Amino acid sequence: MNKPSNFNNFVDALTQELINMPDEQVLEGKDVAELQADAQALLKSARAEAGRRRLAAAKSGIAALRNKPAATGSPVLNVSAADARRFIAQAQNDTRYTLAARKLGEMSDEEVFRLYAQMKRLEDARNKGGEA
Amino acid sequence: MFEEIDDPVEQEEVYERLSAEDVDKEIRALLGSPASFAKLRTIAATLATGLSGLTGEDLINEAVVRFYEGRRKWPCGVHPLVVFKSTMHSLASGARKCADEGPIDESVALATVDVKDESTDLRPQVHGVVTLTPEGALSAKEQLVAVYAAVAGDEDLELLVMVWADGLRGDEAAKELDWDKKKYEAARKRLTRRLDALDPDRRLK
Repeated sequence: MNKPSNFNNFVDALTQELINMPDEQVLEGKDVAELQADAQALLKSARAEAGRRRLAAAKSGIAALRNKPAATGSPVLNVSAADARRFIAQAQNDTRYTLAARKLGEMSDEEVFRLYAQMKRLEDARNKGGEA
Repeated sequence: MFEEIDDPVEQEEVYERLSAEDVDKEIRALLGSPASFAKLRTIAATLATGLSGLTGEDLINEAVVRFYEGRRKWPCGVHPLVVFKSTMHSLASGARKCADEGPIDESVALATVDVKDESTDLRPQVHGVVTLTPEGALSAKEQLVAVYAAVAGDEDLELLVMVWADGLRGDEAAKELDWDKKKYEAARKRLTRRLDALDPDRRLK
């Protein structure tokens, strides 16, 4: 016999034939209660797995967002503490920024850098928003 | 475990997609019917033929997960068994492709993210752990040979497999075989039983 190699045709035909088959013919000799139990167990397990994957994807998305500023932040922070203080001092007179009423001189360099980075990110976001 | 390959029919953009709520209803209706579930298992068992480490039940489970995840879309107006067939076929093809490309280091596989088809699958795809080895998978051609092997010794079933593989079905197939309706339906039923037995999970029972 010359055996054809089209498996896809075979599966398509099988699917259509199964659709056309009467249910009682398909169920003949099968344990209906067992089929029902198996189907419900599969549904429950698959739904739980889908939930786990969606949660993992959401966490992964959040982690990616968190990492993004850090990745782009290094060139922004490539300034001296004095320059960062100067930038913040100017920003205190800029109505676009609302800064806590605290003397710049009381802030540590670390705090200055953090504030500077936040303001730069805000500024970048505004610039991008304006371009869009 | 699966790397999905888009099915050209299933993934065509011409289809409207069901909402998540309607997909849930379709899946519950399909799995809630013992006859439909039995039919689904027969298709899955056939598609899983030759996929080492994967059973038909794995394919059904993964398909359901992807529908609920939203990674796979459900086209409107298509029979649920056809929708599942297309999805499971894609999953099986993906598993074969992974096997062809060789085993993947489990520690890095989960870190690989890409987007395969923006039109239907908008979420990043994280490649799962691959348990297949190249020698563990059969090509589609070999899968058909495995189906022939499952019906070996029953000439009527061999003929039925052949005409279905030729693309004929229903009355057309019966006419080609010169069988009456009764003989055709009896052979069809016998064939589905043999295909069920391709799934190792079913064989044990």
